[in-house]
Amino acid sequence: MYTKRTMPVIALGAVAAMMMAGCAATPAEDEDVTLNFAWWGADDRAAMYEEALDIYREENPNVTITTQSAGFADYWTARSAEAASGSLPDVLQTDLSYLDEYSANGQLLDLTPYLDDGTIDEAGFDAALLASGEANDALVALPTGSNMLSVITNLGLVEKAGVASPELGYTWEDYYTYLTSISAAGITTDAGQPVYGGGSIAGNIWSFLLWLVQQGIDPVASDGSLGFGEDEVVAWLELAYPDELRDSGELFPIDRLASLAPLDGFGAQEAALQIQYDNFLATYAAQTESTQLSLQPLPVVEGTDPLYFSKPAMFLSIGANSEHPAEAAKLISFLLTDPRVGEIFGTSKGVPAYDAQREAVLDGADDTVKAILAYEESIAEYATAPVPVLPHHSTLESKWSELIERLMYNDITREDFASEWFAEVDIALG
Amino acid sequence: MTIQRIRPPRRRVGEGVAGYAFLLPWLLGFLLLTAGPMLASAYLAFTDYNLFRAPQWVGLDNFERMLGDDNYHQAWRVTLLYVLVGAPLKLAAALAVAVLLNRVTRTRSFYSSAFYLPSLVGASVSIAIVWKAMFIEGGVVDQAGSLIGITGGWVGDPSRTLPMLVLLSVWQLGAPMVIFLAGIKQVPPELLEAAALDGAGPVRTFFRVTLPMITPVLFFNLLLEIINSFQIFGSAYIISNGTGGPARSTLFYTLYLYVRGFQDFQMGYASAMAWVFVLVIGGITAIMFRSSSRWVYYSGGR
Repeated sequence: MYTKRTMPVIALGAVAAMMMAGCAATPAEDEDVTLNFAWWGADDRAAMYEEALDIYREENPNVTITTQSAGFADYWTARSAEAASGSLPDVLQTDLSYLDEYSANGQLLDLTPYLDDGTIDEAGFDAALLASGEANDALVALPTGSNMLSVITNLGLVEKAGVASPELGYTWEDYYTYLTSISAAGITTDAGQPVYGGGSIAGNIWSFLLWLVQQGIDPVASDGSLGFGEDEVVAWLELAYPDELRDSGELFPIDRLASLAPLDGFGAQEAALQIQYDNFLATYAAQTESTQLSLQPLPVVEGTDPLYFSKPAMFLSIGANSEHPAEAAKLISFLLTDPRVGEIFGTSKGVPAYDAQREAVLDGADDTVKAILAYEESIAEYATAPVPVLPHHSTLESKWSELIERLMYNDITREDFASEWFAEVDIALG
Repeated sequence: MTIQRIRPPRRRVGEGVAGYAFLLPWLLGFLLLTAGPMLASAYLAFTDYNLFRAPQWVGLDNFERMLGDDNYHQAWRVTLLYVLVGAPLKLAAALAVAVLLNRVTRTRSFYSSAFYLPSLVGASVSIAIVWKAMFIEGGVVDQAGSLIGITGGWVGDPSRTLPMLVLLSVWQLGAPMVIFLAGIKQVPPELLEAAALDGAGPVRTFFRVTLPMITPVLFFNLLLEIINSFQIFGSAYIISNGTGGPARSTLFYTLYLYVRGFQDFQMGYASAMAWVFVLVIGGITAIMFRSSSRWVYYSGGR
């Protein structure tokens, strides 16, 4: 019979057993490998990834790939928590603006050994693009493709407004003339919402950086500090968000954005123009269900020749804490070089950086892909500037967006904007 | 006369050990998940820590930065406004509903449950999403409001986002309401009868008899509500999409802390903010307890 002594012991044993059950299972066999793969993007990208991964899973039955995805901001919040605990996914999608921070402490694996031993074919990659994945003296990321800034235009709305699109070589001031004339036409959507030419271009920090580059200003000085000051920022804001436009109501109203989320003005067909990287054409085409979207070149600074840059769209990296780096490298090689993956994705991750994928994309090209390739071809001769990425770009970009919102709600002046943004620069760089 | 000392019965050693053994899982959880991180963040508050490299000691820099940080002051403004307006409003509404329910006898349990339900699910993500969809331009509230002249969405208007969140908080009045109801029921009926005999109407009875008698319950609810209001995060995060917008109108302290810590990789600064927050809430709680002896009446005697 159980005495008063043995009961506590039995109960203690039961508790201990329950605690142990929570512990991790025994490690898998050598052949069976589980890889974690994380990316950011909308639903269309998730569907494409799963399609591509299914092909890989069929051909590599010993590899189990667990996937996770999120929106851009949430994605990086999750990655930062994982970076702190050393549990980054085996394969993760990365962005140019985060390479600096993540590689500074060896959070991303150096991929050079996998290029050297042939796991990933180096020869087929565009050399300049490949080099863009270098940070802190290591090749920590491989580019999926490249893209360029463009004015994504809803030709249907532009024609409805009866306005003519400007030709290549038009100035930043001309852009606003074009935009306001669309707003002034007074057209509406099917639901009766007013259609605007577009929002202020001040909000996109890449437009600002392009504008600097076009004036011959290098955004990053050789010692790593910024090559411009508050005056340039204020001058940009005066160009991109002048008082007349603010008061005239011809810009897409910022408070409408809150109502439309997660779509933006362009995606909801309430704006005719959107300055964005050209790979967004696929997402916008899906959101607007319009076949009349077109890519137009960005404006130029008065009196200069067109000058643009080509930016690596995104990268794939391996977390330095990965237990199966070789398998992860094989998966990356598949995703970046296999022509079938190119056919699935088209140009939604940029114009592919690897030649075999690029050719596959050209072959199976649908209208969106053809449009992007044609656009990049048309301005290829002008796309010679290096990518103006800032140090700690991600932090500075989000501070820029936060301050733009306050500027547009008339919370701060342009001068306040410049001084607050530079205060953040000091904290980030200092 | 000998005085016998009565000794407490001797405890057997095994019983104490068994108690601690059962406590062990919870104790481990507390140490590893609560106490440990709290101590770690107390250390991190004096460092510059960006999650990627080891923390670097900077002394009081983070606290100095707080004094000059305009976003930080805005976070305090928004949070204090929410607490000082929202908590009393919620409690007043809860008390009003409790008084009304006190008179209902047959369907009281249905109404109690109906009012209590929102407070169970209120802080969840799904409710925040639904609330946002209700208050957006063209949503239910906009359509209903246009009947009485309040047009336009609430989500995109910086002057309406805080009222919207206060309404969300007031909607969850069920939990304090149930406690108030219990407190009102405890008011000695002799006092109410005496008041009626003296010719006091319902309003006078409420303010002169009921309210003073339920001050312990009021104190409890007030304390809990204030602490709860300070901790708002989930609804603000969802409704503002993690930005604290529009134009920083929903930049609550906890949200700003989260943004600084997890989006800007400034963990040292976020830890410093967290500890200032704890100290302020602790201070407010201490002041409330001190003042309670003046206005809270415990009928059982101290």
